[in-house]
Amino acid sequence: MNKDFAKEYKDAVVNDLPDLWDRIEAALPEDVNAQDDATTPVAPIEFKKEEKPKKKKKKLVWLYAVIPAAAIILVVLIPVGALLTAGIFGLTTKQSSNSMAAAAPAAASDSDSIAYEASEAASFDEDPSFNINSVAEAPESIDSIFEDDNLKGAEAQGEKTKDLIPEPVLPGAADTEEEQELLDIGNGYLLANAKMKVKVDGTYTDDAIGTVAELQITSISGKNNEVYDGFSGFSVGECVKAKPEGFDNALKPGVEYEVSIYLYAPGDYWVIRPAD
Amino acid sequence: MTQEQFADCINRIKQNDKSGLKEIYDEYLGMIYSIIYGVVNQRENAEDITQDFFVKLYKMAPTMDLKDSHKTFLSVIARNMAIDFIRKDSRNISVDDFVEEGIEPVEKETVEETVVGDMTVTEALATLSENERQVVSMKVLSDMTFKEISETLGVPMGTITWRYQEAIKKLRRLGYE
Repeated sequence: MNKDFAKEYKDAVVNDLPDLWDRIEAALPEDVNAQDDATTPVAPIEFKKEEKPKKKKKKLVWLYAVIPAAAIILVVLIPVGALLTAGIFGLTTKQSSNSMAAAAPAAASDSDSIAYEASEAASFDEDPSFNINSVAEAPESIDSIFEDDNLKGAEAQGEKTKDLIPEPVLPGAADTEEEQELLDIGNGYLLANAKMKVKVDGTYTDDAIGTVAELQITSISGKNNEVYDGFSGFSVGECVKAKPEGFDNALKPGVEYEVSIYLYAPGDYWVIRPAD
Repeated sequence: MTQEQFADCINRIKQNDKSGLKEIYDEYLGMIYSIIYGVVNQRENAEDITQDFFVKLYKMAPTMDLKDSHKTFLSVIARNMAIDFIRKDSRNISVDDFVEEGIEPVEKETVEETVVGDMTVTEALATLSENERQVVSMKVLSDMTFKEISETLGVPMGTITWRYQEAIKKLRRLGYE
């Protein structure tokens, strides 16, 4: 005969109920209507964002990636173009280099990189020792020329160059600067949600943290940020304990506040502040 | 307990009369504890959260504004407190975190080897893996949806439904439906 698992499971739990009344009674406050007078507003903390030359670095990253790529393309395209020209028209080695020189000025007006191509082609033309047979070696030699240019530039810039070397991107770091700002406002405060409404159920004093508010989330209008792995965000109706910061007066039970909520990572607890 | 009786209890709490809370405690301890136990699936933690729940209810009473069913209200608060606990607790690295996602621990004893007939619900639950037991508890005791369970545990919904189906299969073999 089949047994009803859900019913039996619920009965089993209920039949094994602990008696918690003594514990609960001991934890009840003397006067339920008394406000927590010990609750003092926490002085607002000014967060000065550290000025990070992130955008500048990003531009440099772009430059460091694009310039060598353009150089490599040039190194490959010029010899291949020369080979093709020689192969198709049956030109001599000298003629092929001449045709490149003729083509280069026309292309030079397009962009800086193409201008570089033109000057490189011109130098081939002027070099009497240039031989199509040495085309296979060209990439390496031009690359080394380019490297030398870079080195010269670096020497000319001196110590400045060291500052411009992009820092390695840490895994898990925010992808964009905006995202970085959203998540980390400095001093270990991670923005979990910029705007939500909470109703204060009560407050109490924690020995380690100070004043802690018991809140119920009544509405959420901000975006939930994943401030730690597996955190799926807040939901309406959820109860949260958080330390209030930056409020002019002590939070009043039953009153609804519009707040931003942060994870204070060093202390591993939530912090609320008035929403901007 | 009717809505009026519950309101009367709350009014008594507002006047510092603990008997109001005691009545609610006597009436709803089973429901509240089951819901919380269903989420945390651990006796000591369930007791602590249940205690916190009633203390919170007592403190909330002066500002309580009940429009909907008080039973629903109590259930939601209890469940959210338990979920809040789980979320915070999950930040502490446990051995379970190192178990690869989707790979369930192998039972030492297969269901077929157990004596099916006289098995109690507790013994039947013991045949489930820890992960299966948690999903079944959340579903049966706390009446949570698979989506809610998935969000609470931070596990994909497919994995949750799979665990639940596996658990139900095992329970069926033991004569439960």
